[in-house]
Amino acid sequence: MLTAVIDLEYGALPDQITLPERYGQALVLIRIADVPVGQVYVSLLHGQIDGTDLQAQINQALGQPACQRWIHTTLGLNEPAPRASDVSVVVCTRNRPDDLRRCLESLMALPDDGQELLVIDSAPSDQRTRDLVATFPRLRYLRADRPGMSVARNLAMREAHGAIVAFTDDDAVVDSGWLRALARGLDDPLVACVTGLTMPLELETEAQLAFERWMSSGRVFERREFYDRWYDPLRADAIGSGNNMAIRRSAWHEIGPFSTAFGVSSEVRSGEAGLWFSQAVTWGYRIVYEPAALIWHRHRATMAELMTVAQGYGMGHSARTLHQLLVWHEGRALGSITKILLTYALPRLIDGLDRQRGTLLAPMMLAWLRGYLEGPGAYLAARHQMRQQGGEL
Amino acid sequence: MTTPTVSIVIPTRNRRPALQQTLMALAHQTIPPDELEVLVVVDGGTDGSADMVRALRVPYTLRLLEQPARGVSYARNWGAAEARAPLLISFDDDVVAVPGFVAAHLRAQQGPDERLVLGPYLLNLPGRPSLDQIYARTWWSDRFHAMSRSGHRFTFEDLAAGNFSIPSALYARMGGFDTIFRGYGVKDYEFGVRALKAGAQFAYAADAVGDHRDSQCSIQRVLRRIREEARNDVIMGTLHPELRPALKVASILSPSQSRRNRLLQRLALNWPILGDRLVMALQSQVESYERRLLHAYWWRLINGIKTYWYIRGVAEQLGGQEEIAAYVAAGERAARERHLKLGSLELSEGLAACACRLDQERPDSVELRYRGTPVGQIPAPPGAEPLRGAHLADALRQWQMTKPLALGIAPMIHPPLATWVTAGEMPSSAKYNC
Repeated sequence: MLTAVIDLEYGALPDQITLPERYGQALVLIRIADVPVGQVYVSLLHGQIDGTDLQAQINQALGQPACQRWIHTTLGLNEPAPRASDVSVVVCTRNRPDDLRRCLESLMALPDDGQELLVIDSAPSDQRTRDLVATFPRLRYLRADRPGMSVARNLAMREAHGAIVAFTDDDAVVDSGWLRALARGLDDPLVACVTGLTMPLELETEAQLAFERWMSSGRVFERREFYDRWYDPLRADAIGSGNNMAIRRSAWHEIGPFSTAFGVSSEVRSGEAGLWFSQAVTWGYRIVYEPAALIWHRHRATMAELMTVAQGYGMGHSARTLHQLLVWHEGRALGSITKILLTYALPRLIDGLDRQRGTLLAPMMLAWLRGYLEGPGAYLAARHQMRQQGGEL
Repeated sequence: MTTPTVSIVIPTRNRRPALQQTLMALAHQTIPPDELEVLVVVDGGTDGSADMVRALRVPYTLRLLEQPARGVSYARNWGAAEARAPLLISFDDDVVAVPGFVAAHLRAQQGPDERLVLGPYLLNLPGRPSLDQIYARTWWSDRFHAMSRSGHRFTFEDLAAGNFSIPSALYARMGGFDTIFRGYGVKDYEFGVRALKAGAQFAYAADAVGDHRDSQCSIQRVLRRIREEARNDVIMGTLHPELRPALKVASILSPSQSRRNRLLQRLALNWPILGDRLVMALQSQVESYERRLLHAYWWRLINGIKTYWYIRGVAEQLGGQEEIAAYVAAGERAARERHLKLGSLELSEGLAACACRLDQERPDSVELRYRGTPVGQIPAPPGAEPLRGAHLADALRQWQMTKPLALGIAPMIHPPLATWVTAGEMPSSAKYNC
């Protein structure tokens, strides 16, 4: 079913929503005083829903984060996030100028706190990205000669001038409060990294809807703090993702670079941020998830792309486990394999067999499993290659 | 000789290289050197620290006092008694002051009230820190980060003897550090209790930074010291009975303790010989857990061992279970019978008006109302400063306050609130394990 994505302020809900008739439902993001506090799917009749009905469904869906925000707003306890000073914003991109343009336009609309804006062009095959960047003011352009998300991110960490480096991807659009919310999370000196909330930019195809269903299962609207003590390194996914994070540069120097064996356009096609998160908490730092740091991500539109992404995630999981075994001698890594297969993969596969919930979940999980099996091989190949050509494990 | 503006008192024993670094760093302060006096009190010791001090050439006035080993509190008090400046800085021998250190204390001391200004230590960890170093850094960093918030409500536990400034007159009036405490810990906190009772206004100067160079914070040392800390806690509770509920002693016998802790408690109180052997054996496991990066197990183990030695230390001072229970109960009584100044706030008048009232009245605890209906209370924890206006917003933002506020306010302003608050369980803490 085609799904519209809308963004509403709770205090100013419309009397009526009218959308093109092709939409059967809408995913509504609800904010209170600009901060996201919940989401709800509402059904549309001929593309419409009236205000009372909408209000009732939203009231039903909201919970504790909304309650807290409402009270804080009523009592005047909200602290606006301070200016994000001494921050660099980085977009790593590769041959996607159309997406990148939309992303850069949203970055240009951020409040100007003097932040540096940096585009890392990752081993491009043509001049299009460079030409596009030249049309924007204030943008710094850097080119990474070797492909790989980790190579690009490491380059950004070394070249950026800010004490805080915020990352987003070319297929995302940032909210105007994004940067300040991320920067505020780094207020505590032991926080090495802040991650944020990722919502879908559009849900126009079945593939996008399937991806959204898959990704949104762990979505929460309250601040969380991840720290060492009882941290299970294998659930780095719960912390956040590399397309929406800000890193304290001084901590990064201590914790170490992103492993170039991991990440888009490397042997292991994902998992570089998750691996780094585990490393950060192992080193005694904290990571904060801050839902006020909102971005809108354009999910892959075709089935083929979706399967590649799912496979990449699977690879990231198993490769990370192997890395933890081989490099960190993490004793619990082996136990995590059963855990992840039984509590993560299996229930989703069974869910996917249920035809009504969406037919795409099962093939996606199969792709994920295929990736999971291929991960160790890819990781070992990357290690071998790095031993010969250099790189950062 | 002119009277100096600031006197820094540094007690030391057998730490010559660190002390030398500390004294050298004080030579590069931004204030004129003739305004600064440094008193080194050598408390016993055999490594020639005194000779090093005598031979040192520094631009400021450096004075040496030597005493046979009588304890660090005695040393601090003697140094303070000899000091000539109207302002004292209590300092440690292994901390390197940044150039603006003294100036920062002086700035933060300006004001009509008598202030006790606390400064941070920074721990510089080596390339790959060990778990105990991480533990130490976390402990210190959290402490100072909390104090750096304008809404922080200071308590006696914020006082650390190694970096604070205080008017000399106040120090003398308080009688300095209590020399009854032997061994590690608690004497700072006890000083904090009396400083608050004497009406000192605590403040935090984030720029009065001391770099803590000595990072030999081994966990074995922490474990050795925990028994001394327990004994000192009991002494503290004897001096100030109303504080007992705020000390760890109070939680030993609490029924909410985990099964493991209850077992440790039984071992420590009833079968100490067996318990000591068992815990020593566990202690040798600590390193192997660290090597295998089993952080969770490491933490659980360390906490268990600490709990055990703490109870042993308390038992040595008080006796068995009944004596401990009586001691705690008497403390709870004393805490209830405290003479507290109570206040009341009407939140619908607005935050600014409420904060203003707090600043004028400085109550210890306030009842909160919204359009006349009681919606909660800001409590008076033992040993905390009276409320200021700056505390209000932070106190209301505490997660514990959300539910009572929501349930109290919802019927008046927004009925769905009541369902939102019950929609999900309230988080039991602001932090999450994953």
